[in-house]
Amino acid sequence: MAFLKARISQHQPDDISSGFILRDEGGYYTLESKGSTSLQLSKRAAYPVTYAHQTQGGAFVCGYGQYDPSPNDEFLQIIINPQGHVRIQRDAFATLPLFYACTPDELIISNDYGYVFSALPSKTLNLRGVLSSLLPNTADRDSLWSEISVLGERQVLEWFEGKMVVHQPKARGWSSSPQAEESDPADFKRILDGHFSSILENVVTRNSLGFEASGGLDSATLPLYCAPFLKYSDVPIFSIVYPGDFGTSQLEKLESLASTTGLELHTVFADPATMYPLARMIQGRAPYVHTSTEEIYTEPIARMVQEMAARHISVVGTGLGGDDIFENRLSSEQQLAYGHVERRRRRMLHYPEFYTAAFRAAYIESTLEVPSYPLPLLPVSLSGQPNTHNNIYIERGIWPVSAYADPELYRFCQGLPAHFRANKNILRAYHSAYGFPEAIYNPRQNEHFGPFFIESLSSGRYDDIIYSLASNALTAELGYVDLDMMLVTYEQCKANLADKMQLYYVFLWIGTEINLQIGTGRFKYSA
Amino acid sequence: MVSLEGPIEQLAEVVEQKFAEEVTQIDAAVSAEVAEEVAHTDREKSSGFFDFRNMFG
Repeated sequence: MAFLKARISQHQPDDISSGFILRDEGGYYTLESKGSTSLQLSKRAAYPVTYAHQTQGGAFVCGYGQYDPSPNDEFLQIIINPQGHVRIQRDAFATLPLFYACTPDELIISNDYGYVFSALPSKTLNLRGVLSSLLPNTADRDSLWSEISVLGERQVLEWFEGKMVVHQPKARGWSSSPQAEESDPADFKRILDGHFSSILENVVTRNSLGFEASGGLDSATLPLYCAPFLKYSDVPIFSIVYPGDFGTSQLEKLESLASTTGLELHTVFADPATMYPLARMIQGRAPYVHTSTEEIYTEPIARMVQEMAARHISVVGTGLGGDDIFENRLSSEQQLAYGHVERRRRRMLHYPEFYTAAFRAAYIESTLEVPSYPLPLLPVSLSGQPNTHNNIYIERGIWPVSAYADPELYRFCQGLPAHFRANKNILRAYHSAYGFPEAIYNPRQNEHFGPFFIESLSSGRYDDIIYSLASNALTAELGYVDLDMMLVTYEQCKANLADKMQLYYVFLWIGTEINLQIGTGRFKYSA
Repeated sequence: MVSLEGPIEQLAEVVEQKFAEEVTQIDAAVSAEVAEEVAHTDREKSSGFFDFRNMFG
């Protein structure tokens, strides 16, 4: 079930005040009116709390977080006034992905991409979206369909009588790392301690919490910091463990983390036979993807989230953004992928062989002259693409809270001299000073998802869907993909005769085609 | 993990001192030339299209 879904009709603009019914049942707030307006929001008592009520003036207000939020709060708020004017505003975190579409008759919004997609009577192909689906960039917010957009961080959407306006937020006050106000590395520990203390006080001790950890530096830091302050040990650590050698070294780190913190460790084995990327699509169980890049990890994460839900976890602390806050970015063009810098990058790029010259030309030509949104308060890679991963947690009642998603912490870190940020040296120093396990902050090996992905894509499990999609491929009709070359590349990779990194592009093509073929009613594949 | 034995103030002081030493060491280990080069290198978390980044950060 979607966390939030709404269809707000423009007919009978005063029907909300005259026939407005707000219910609280079955774990949802639901709003219905005499017209066809309907809204459903999941009830949530844990952080961030959801609410829905009618004001004395007759307006309907719902959302999550503080009712009267301050700039640093996590919140989403939807206001529908009696005349039918709708206002949706959100925070700098944008934890809940939010898709929307506006037709002549109604405004459709949901965190569920498939819901918005299905509610639309007709869709128009967005070529820019097709290009960015085949070759994604962290700054992209494009959808494959012109009608579906993403409400990004701090954007405000207003809708009245079928007309929609999206107000852009102010760009942050500094654009690149060298422009951030200089920070003293000696202050880093005080700043990070203060930030973690705030999470500890406001989130950790007030909710049924779990930590998500990989055994790496970023995700281990918050549980290591919090552990001495926890008066009880029922804050578990959850992890996905890779098969093979990576799994062995990863388990050593995780066990070290568990024994140091005294917290219980729950692991989920990433089974290549069942948790391969896009397994849901290939097994015919889920028809929609928003972006295929988000789908790489969906299967194992969904399994881990199941474990969390079984233990009634309501908030999970994550390490997302641990790399991003220390990045070194020299221009806004590079961050938001526009202008001559991005155009030059696209000209210099090495394209996979099965992407045609027409694709390359269109990709270069589609470079934005001006950014489509201003610089966010958090790293672009955290807030550019809607993090649809978050839906996996949120739809099971679990809210992901990143240890590093904080605008002030980001600004402080960006002001540090670059050599303190490189290799996350300053964070490693923090670990060393606290005496945290050296296996984590000075590891012999960094495990990653690469071998799992390569093994999955080489396994032959994708044969049927690839050949089915290729028989009807829209990307070939658009002239972007040479199908024969793509199939040769795929077979050669399987037979170890080509660079297996190309399987990433094959994967992107599969995800793009699934989405396109479902959207145009030509999807024939069945498991 | 730092031992929790002893007065908390003393413990905090030890960590502070150790952190200050670590910061000094980072500065000492990097030449001015390298620091300058690092400062002028654009480095995004995901430097390519596919870095098989860690799932959890």
